[in-house]
Amino acid sequence: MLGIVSYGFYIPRYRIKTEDIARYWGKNPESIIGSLNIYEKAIGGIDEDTLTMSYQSATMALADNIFDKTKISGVFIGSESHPYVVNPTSTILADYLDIGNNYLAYDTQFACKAATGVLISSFALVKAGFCEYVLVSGSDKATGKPGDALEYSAASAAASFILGKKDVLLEYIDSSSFSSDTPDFWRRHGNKFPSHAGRFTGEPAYFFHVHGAVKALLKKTKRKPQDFSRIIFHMPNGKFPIRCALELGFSKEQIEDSLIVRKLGNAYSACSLIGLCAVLDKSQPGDLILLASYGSGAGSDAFVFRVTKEIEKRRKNFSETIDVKQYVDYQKYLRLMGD
Amino acid sequence: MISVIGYHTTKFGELWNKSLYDLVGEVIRGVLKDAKLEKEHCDAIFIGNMLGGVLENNLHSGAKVAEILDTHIPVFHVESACASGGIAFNMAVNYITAGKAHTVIVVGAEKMTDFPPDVTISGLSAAASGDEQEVGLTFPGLYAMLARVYMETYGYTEEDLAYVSVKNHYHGFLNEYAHFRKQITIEDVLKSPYVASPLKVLDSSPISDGASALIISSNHQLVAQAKYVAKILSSEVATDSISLKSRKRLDELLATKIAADKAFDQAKIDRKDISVAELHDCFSIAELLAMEDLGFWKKGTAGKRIKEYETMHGNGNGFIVNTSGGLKAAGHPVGATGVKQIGEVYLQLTGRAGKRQVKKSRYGLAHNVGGSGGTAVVTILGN
Amino acid sequence: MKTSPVKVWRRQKTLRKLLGMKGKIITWTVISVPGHKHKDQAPFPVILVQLENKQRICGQLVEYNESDLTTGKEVVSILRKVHKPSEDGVIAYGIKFRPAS
Repeated sequence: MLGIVSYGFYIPRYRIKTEDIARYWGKNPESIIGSLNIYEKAIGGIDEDTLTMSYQSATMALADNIFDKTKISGVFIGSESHPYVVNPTSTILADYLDIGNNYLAYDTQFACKAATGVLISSFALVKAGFCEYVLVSGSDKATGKPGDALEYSAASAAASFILGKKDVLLEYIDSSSFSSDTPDFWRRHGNKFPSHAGRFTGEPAYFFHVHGAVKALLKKTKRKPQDFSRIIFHMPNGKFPIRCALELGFSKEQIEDSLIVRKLGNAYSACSLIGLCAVLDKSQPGDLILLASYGSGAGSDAFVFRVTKEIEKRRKNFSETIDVKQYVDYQKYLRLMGD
Repeated sequence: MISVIGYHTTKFGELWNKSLYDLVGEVIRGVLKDAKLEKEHCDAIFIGNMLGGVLENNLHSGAKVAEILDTHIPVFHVESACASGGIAFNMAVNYITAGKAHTVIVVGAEKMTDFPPDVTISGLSAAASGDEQEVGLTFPGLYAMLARVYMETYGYTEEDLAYVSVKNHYHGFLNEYAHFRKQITIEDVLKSPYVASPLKVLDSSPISDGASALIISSNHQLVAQAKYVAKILSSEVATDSISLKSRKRLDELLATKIAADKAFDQAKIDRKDISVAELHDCFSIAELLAMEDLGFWKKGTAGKRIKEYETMHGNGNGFIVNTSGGLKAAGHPVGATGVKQIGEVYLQLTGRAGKRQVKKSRYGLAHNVGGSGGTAVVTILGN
Repeated sequence: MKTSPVKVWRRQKTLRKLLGMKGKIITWTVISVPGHKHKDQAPFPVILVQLENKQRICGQLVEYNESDLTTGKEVVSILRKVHKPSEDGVIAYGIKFRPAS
């Protein structure tokens, strides 16, 4: 059986409320919250970055301690905020995890789907017997230009998954990837903040690609929306995923448990993966789960997973963990976002 | 027997017009004049300086001194963080004892104000371990940790520590060479901003420039014809781990204890014989620890006894501490301090301490510490 | 002086063994006046910790409340950036602490 053997996540402690950002910019908090459906977001401290957060999430995944970590022969990190432009985050992570030197590593970028893309490749590596275990991490300390709409949603978080064939808690059934060249959101060399094309990021971008990937996957696996206990879509805000789910024939109930964006914001490459961690809190053996990420530029990776009995032994308590938080005001927020 | 036969010091403070080697040149010429000697009388020079290399990329001080003085005698650079001066003195004494010379000049000098304070503070942390520096611990930070242990173990407060600064500022007020000549109150200390809690600005010695020099000699003729003489009864050194984390106890500086025991042993006198002492008060807590570690006061009692001001000039007591103003008020040009301390004791024993003279001083002690206690040197002079 | 990449690399091997360990605060201070490398972080607390393996190390404390700064408080070691990297130098990661509860 091929799938996810263990999982871990990390949400930084600090939170800033949407209403505090809105008030600072002289906007009406109610209308911002109303249009985005985001109440607050999590942000990393000035001494945290993609690597430190990924490390925390990977340590949680490895804490299950059910296999020899030196057997990990693939380490991949997807992020939009790698600490270096040239120098792999994945090997810094692997070194701190002390897994030896016999592994393949590289960093990926594809906006918010940097990690799910390499997740598909990693399932192939394990399936083909190239790697016994692979660690895939999605981690971002997302930024939005102060005063821009993205400021309300850009957040920090990390999630890690160990892929393998033994003691699988989330069985990999199938996946489908849908890609195109669609310039809805980008960041050039040397630019500190990303740029975006406003409303163009909606229909032709997010919705077109998520629809494309999910429909192709449902067809491939001969499944209907009703077959799934829960679904997770990438969450650029608290509205898009719900609308997309309804358009595709899913119900609001199916997507409800995944909508962490309302409390944690959008942590780019970690976003949909964090949604998956949240959903696992309540998942039962036998449940079918559908996950569809979205990465600007653009593309969507869709997965069908089945929960196994292993979940009962090694479930991590997401909702309780994320409740440890500390609110900051806008001034402190600017200081935390740093340089 | 080796004796101190001359002393000269610059004022300590922000000496904008003088470079490090301007100060070195000045005190060497000054001390020769004080002892009424010529440079030809001098067989060797020991110079204590900590930051020349760190801040200014200036090392090889031996050759620099040779250039300033136009000499070819051996000149040795000594570095032991804030104990550079005291250790330079110790090595000079041992150099003479070993028969390599008869008359040696010991110089201590430091230039700290050419750079912004945060650069100097980083430079000073070179005296701490790499790990301590990495996490952002400064000198005040290290002594602050010791202060907290002391306060929590023996039940003292920040107010108790403040008495050290008040006393030393009074002494500085009496010393025309001191960096600070202003008296302060307990309230002033308590109201000053934190540098590293619980230590505040007025608990901490300042950043100062300055240089001091001594001439020591075993030459009978030179000693006999010298006007002001003090015998060097002992100079002893001990070390301890550079990092706080490897110390056996955090409520004492073990290096001080070991050096003191050796020094009193060597000098063949008791603690009660000492009438003046210059102790290493880089921070208020350091003087309290020193009083206990040197064996003058019992462990844990300094925080209480300091409030009686029994070691303050004018109290009619037989034992006065830090008449120069200590590091706190006289200033702390790091490499110079150890030499200044011995110089102050020498002035006291030879009746030349002006308004801060302690009458009938027969034996005096100087205590110089490097870093957070990694090096300690105790010197005893007597007449 | 820029952070030495060799030193960072060498230090990493010892550092990673000390991550995720519990310990108790032996003594602490809050640095208000730092050296230039840590200028932008002040004020910050530094603690001396005795780890569960009896080793002692010092490090900054983060994500704390005032009441956590007490002798005896239980803390856990985490991985963080230790100071702001220079514009083109390597990033130094190291150990900081967070209150255990």
